[in-house]
Amino acid sequence: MRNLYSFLIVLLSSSAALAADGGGGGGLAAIGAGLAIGLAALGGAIGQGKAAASGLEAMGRNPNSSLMAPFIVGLALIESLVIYGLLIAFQLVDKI
Amino acid sequence: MDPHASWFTLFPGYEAVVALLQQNLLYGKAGVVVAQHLFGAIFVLLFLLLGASRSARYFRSTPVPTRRFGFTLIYDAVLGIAAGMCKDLIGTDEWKRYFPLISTLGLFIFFSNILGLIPGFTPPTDNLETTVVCAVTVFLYYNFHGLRRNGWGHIAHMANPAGLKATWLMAPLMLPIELIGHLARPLSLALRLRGNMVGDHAVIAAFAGILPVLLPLPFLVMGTLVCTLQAYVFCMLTSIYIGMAVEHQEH
Repeated sequence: MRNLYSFLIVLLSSSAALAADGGGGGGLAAIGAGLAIGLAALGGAIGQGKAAASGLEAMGRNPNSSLMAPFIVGLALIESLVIYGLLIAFQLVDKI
Repeated sequence: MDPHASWFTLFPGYEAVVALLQQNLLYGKAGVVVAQHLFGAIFVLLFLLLGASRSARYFRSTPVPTRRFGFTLIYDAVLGIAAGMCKDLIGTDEWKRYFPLISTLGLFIFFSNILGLIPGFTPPTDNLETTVVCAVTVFLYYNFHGLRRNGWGHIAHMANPAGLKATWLMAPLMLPIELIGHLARPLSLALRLRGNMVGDHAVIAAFAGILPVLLPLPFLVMGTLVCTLQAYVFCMLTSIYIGMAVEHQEH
């Protein structure tokens, strides 16, 4: 835990130094963009993995069921949250 | 190379429209981008009109579906999928009333997305204004039909989704939540479509920038999948929203 704090302090101080050099907070924006899409993709991938696993298992047990449509809607709804992260990342990249 | 180079520069009147948009204070320098989306949307609409007239002429002569690849085949496939979706997801017998909007949205979004896969074209759906217009149309449409079918029941269903007498006590809590939920629907429709298209386009552009031959091929295949899937999801969510709004509610 202390490692994490020291990492964050180093991160913030380095970006503060960057800003003092006339970076204009571009470094923080870059880190934020990376974190936005990275964390969004992490959560979305875990969620989609779980949804796909149980959806495919259900379809495998009962191949005649028409689960494909709700399955795709569920995946799209999970994915849209990742897409919000992507859009935020694009907006942050524009600020660099 | 100019990042805004595109086939639309060959269109008559392109320079004049760009100049006009760049005079506009709202757009300024971004007028080039807006002009590309404008011309993209007009191009897709012309394409759709051509395809509609051709496939209408074909199906007036014979009811047998064609096997030759062309407008008629694509229209037949897209409208068939949209009709199946409407029939399954809108529970009432009057699904044919809602079919034109859903199929038109499907065709427009599908062709717009696919346009972005051709090098030198910008898909109209990768700017927020196009997708917001589509999503707000859906929002107004399903609320209008919900009010038409159920009258005050449409509002009462928002205040009291459980439909029991005792749950009316929860109405002051439920109404704001449901209102926010309803307002989030067009937002998420628009942002999902736009974000997918922007991301797709950016990935293909990045890899085509490294090596324009063969390297973007897997991403073009994935792009085709994403484009089709996003049009499908947009239509499916539209029919689910309409179906939820127009189903009979006892209130």
